[in-house]
Amino acid sequence: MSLTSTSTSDSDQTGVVGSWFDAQRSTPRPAILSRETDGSWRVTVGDEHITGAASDVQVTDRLGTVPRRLRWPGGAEFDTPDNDGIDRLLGRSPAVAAFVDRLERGWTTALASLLILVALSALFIEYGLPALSRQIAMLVPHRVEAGLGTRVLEWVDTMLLDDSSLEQDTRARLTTAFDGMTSSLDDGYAYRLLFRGGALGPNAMALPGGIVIVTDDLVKLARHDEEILAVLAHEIGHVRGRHTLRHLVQASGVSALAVVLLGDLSQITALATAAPALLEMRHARDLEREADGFAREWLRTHGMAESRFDDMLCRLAASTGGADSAMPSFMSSHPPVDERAACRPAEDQR
Amino acid sequence: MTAPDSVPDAEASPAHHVEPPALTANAAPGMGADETGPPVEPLPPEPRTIPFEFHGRGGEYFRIWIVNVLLSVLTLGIYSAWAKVRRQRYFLGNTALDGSRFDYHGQPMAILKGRVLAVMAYLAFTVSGNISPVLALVMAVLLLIAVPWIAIRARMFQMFMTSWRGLRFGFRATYRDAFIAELLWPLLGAITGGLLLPYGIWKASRFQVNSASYGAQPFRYTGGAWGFYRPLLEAGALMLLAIGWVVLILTFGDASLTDDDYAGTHPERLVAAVIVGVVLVMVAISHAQAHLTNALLSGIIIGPHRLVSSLRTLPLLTIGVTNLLLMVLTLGLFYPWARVRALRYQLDHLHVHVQGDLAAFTAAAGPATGPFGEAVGDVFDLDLDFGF
Repeated sequence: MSLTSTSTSDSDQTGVVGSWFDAQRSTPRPAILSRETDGSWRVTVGDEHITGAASDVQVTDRLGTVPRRLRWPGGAEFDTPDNDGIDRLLGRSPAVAAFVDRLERGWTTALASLLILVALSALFIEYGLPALSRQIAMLVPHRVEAGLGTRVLEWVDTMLLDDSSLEQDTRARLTTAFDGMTSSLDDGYAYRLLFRGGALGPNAMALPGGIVIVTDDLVKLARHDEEILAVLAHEIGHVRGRHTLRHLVQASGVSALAVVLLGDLSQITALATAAPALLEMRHARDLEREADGFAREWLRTHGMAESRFDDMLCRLAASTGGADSAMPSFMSSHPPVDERAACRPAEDQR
Repeated sequence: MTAPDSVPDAEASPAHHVEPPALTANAAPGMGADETGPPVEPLPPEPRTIPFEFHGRGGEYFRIWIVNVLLSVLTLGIYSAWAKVRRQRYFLGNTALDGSRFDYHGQPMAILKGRVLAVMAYLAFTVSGNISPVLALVMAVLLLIAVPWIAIRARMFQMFMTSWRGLRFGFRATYRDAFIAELLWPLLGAITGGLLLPYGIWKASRFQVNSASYGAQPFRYTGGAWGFYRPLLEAGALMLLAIGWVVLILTFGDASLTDDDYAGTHPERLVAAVIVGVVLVMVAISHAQAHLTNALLSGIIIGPHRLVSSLRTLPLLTIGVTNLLLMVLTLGLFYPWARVRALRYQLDHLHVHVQGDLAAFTAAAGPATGPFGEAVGDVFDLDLDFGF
């Protein structure tokens, strides 16, 4: 860079008006920017000229109506709101910067970007995330899963469940049947059947790592042991498919997507991320269908009637009754019972 | 480079002293001053109030935002570093003081490197937790030790990459001071059940401001601790009122009914009680937000100049609630407008009481900072907002 004090100018007359800052003091000085024939930049401040080679001076990329800056090495800069003027002097902007600016400037490209984003998000939630969460869940060692299951058990025991009040005989009979079911599976899980009481009503749940819990009410609701075995098979299906882990990964995946799209984790976006969590309920229902499939398959291959599963599911739905049907299907974690099972009148069930 | 009009004493003047000759040149003539003797000290110039201005527009930022999100997604996150530079340049470049815009100098590659390092550190932290609890504990202690360092580096990057009128902002702090401000005071605030919390926020604010500088001019914090106690006490009182109200309605609303019956037979009363409670809580949060920001910013002195922030509870609450509703109704698409609205309100109520003029600051030799702290601050949310 050179500094001259001549007031003659050999560059063209189409200068760009702006301010010059010398990086020494916070004093703005009116200045005119032009370009020499050899391509170097030239700033006229009063009767002084500051020049800089095109390779030394950095021109900021165009961004909305933000003022353009030419940054000299050492921090001095020329600043102008005349974006078109700078583009004219530049001749050709760097290709990528010009492309991004063109995308950002028009509403058509903005709306196209929005549509592409919506489509990509939908594809990701529909196909990418379930596949990804399955892969991730399968990577988790059995030991870690078992540890997670133990902690969940501690939590439900404190918060939800009481000790079982079932007859010792009943428990022993069902435990033997359960052990018979699981010993042949040989899938690396240490299965354990637990009986619990409490206000949860007729229910059963599978915890990661192989713990299966049935409530006293469910055992009492069953009219045949095979009905209970059908439910246990459904829960074993959850364990084998690592559904708890997959559900966890998928749910956090949807929230993570919202955070990525909205850019940060402010108060507002944190609330907005709750909405997409509802989408995840659809996948939860897919996992239920998968477990249903395992239960039916198991009943078939062990010479039991599939109708045992239907009967039990229908009776469960009837016993919990109104609460379930009042919930709109998109908010429920289980598919509606008439889709999962063929219900028949009680007198046909034996 | 050679400055066109180099100031002879610019390099030599002490860093803490900004009373350059230019100030006296602009001084208003003093009334009744003794003009006969030799000038002992020039009279202080007439003070002026200069407002901050924000020129960003929601529609314009929406287009920039949506394109940058798409490019970030298509490049699997790599473009997000470039997007961050564009976002910072948009907000700083649209903020003006005394006719001059702020500017952002962060380089995408530096931000990208920092983000990669931060993600790797995060993964190491997460994985170690699964391998052994001892290793996880060691990692947690290491992270705790690193927190003050990360906070300093994040702040250094953020401030140094910001400029106004060709001069950079700066941030310089010792590990010890950051440790006390960022770890010790929050801890004391927590174990005293919040009694020392406002005092801790005041200490942290003082540390943040007193470590900052513009050019060669250090910032100074003059606000007292009461400025933080008062809004938090008032907000706390409103919260108690909200809790008291809901409990009162539920207990004495209709004594003949049990809780279950109550919710079942008079749901509208329950809903009304909860709505009033929620509104009170939101008023309390907005009140604390407005007046804590005022206490922080209005205590800042830069040379002879003082910042004045005059946010008020109800406008802030209105903006917050409408932003939230519109965000939910548009599934998040209102986000760019929400950001622009919030920032415009804040900057419309930020002024500088100027003594002399703002053209007399001089440059300092700025510290070169690595980007590591910057990006770690992003992932661990240590990127503290300073209000620009």
